[in-house]
Amino acid sequence: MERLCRGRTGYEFIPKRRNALDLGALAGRLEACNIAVEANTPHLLIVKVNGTGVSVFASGKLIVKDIESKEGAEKIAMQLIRIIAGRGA
Amino acid sequence: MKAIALISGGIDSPVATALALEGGAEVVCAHFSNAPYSSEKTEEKVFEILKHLAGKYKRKIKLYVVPHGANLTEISRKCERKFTCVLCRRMMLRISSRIAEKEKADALLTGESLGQVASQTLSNIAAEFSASELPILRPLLGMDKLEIERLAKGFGTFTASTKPAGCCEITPERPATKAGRGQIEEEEKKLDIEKMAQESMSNARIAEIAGK
Repeated sequence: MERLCRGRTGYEFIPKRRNALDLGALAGRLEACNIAVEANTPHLLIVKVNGTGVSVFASGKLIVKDIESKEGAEKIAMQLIRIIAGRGA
Repeated sequence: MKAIALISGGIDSPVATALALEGGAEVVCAHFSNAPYSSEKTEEKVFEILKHLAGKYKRKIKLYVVPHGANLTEISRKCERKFTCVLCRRMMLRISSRIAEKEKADALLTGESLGQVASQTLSNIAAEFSASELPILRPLLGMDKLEIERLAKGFGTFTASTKPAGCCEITPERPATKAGRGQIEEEEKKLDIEKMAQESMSNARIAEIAGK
């Protein structure tokens, strides 16, 4: 499901099923795909995908931030979802 | 009276600040930047609000912008998640007390209002007291949101306060609503509070904001 985030500055992508992602391990996989990890906590990663900030929550929820284009946000979210699912960048 | 006003860029803290200015208090502001867990647009909002208040009350307003993101990372990594908001606020009060010492201020001033969000309960507010040796003034504590919004419109801060700016993303889904002081102090033993406060102070930026 996707919707405008609560702060109205980006788009939220919420998985149908709640996950319990190992964000420490995911951070390593993201960096291996040249995605910069700006903050790494057990509950939340903050990453930059081609200059756009994205929050990745342990539940699998993504927030693509400071972006007006819904299509642009979807593209970034799909790139991350593929990495989370272990299907490469 | 001179107070350090903690200002977030939301609706409430600018109203608390304006009430103090209206009452003739000398005010120095402190904004805690939660980046990268919140948008940098929040800081722009704070500057816009203070520029307006500086113009309205015909004085320059001094602002400390304190980087708080690294503190949140430490809290998130080392402490029980449900206490994040209380630990975050205690850290802000502690750092604000240091600003107060530097500025020779008599009190801290916040925009907290009881029960407005899950973490703003009487127990949590009580658990925050001991982080500051100075009195904490909370002029909005008993007000409801509509009353605060009416005041914000009167002071002219409402429009800037309600501009989109994202949320603090490190907030737990289920924050503690009855944090005991003992529990909180146990959690703080997991942190190097002194180092965190010192680094925040030495990395703070100071601005003098003049009116429009």
